[in-house]
Amino acid sequence: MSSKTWSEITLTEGEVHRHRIGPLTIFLRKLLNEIWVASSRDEKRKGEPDNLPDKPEWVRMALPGEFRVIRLAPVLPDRPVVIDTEHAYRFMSQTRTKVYSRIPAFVRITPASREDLIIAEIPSVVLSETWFGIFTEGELSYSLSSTARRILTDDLLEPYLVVCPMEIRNNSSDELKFEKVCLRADRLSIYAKDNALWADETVITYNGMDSETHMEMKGVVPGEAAGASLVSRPRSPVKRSMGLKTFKLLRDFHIPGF
Amino acid sequence: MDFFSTLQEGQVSEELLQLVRVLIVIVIGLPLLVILRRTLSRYVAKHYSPHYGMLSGKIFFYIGVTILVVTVFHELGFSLTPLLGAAGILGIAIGFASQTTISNVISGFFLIAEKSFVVGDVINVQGNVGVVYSIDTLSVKIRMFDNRFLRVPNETMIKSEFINITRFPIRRVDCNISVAYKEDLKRVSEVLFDVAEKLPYSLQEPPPLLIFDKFGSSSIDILFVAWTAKENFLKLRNGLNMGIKERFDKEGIEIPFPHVSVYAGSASNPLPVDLLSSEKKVFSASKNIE
Repeated sequence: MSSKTWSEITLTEGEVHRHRIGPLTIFLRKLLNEIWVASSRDEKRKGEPDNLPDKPEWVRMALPGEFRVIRLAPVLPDRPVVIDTEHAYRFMSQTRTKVYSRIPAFVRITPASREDLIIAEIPSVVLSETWFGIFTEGELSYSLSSTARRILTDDLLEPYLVVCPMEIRNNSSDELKFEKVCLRADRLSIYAKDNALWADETVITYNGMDSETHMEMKGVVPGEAAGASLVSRPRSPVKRSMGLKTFKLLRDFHIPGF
Repeated sequence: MDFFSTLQEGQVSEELLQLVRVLIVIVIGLPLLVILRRTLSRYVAKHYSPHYGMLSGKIFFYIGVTILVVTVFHELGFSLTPLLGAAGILGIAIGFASQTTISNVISGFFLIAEKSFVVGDVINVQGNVGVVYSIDTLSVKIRMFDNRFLRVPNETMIKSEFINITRFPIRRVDCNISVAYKEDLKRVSEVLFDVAEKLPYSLQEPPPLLIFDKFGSSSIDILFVAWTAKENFLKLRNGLNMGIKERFDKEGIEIPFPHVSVYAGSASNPLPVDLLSSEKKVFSASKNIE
């Protein structure tokens, strides 16, 4: 884990501590067995944390004991994340490809000695909501503003963005046409190496229109980040393979919403 | 009857014992039934849904009460066979006498089986909007948003139309907007989509939509719609309308008031307007005529 961005903070009684993670600044204050948390965002400015707003919206949390050392850990969003492919993607039969998406991490605040006591979870970037499904059923998800990339370069790595490698396989005899992919982020772990965060690789296998799409979380450090250390476990228990709706096909949502 | 005749014969101790047994069954059985019903309802509501919680509680309670009544009668020495026969005849008589009640009871079964709404849904019954509080034997109880209590007989619910507002997981917010004729509609459209995009609870998919409504008498009328999760409906409606007003003010886009322009038509000259200073003598129309 990066010592600068994701670190443990020792709080002084009554004093406000500021910590910046990407565009997010977190304000922490300890008062006896209470921890006060507030936040602000500034996407234009980089580096130094923001100043405490004039009227901060503090959230007070009373804990079962006094904790001076607080841990800030990255976790993936609590809902599935829908990733845009920028343009409609066509996959020939028996084709496979690998894409990378970068998901802004949520910041989980816990006492360093009691990671089960979650004081707060704050998204480093506020993600827009989207609906993955049809008008009568589906899942409320987050929408990622950046698109999935085929090539990932060092300059795209940011300490608050989790790189999620995805391998897409079309095992069917049909052509696969889609424009969005739904990634089950709650089932992914996060690993840290140098100043970057990585999620374990997801293999998405399309078996045709009549069969479910299989999603497999490998549960190991991706090859690109060999030697990285585990910093957070998945929110939901990992199943080796899941049959879930994953692709937003071109034919979906053709029923007008009017 | 058996119970009274034996009492008269002086077998007091045995009958007392019988009475005590009956009392124990009632005193312990009834509160126990109520407690178990509440526990079962809560458990099912927590693990499944409030609707199933209510249903399971009711079914459990009615079965329990039937068993208690049968036990009490048995303890008192009544034979159930003639009782059931009498109940059948009585049932027919009561049925004729209380057709509305029976209709409500049967309608209640249909309402539950059809599942057009469940406990916790927000429904609109003939203009009354509220949250379904319970679906009972005779009526549906609704808590209206101004905290009034509405009771709708089950028969009425079956016969009348109602709207289930929260049946589906996402809802559409409609904004009727009017802009002045002088405005650039492309710019207006860009601003509207930008306002929707900046609200995190406005869903990206299904996407917002702009529909040109009509050339109004004082304005161009537009319908702008955006989608949100049903629980964020009010948040989006407020956010969208307030955001649009704020951005229109900032961008100088005019929301016109209703107005009337009077002109004589293109073929004739405009109506003459003479600006008069305060010193000039002003004649009233009647004086001019004179």
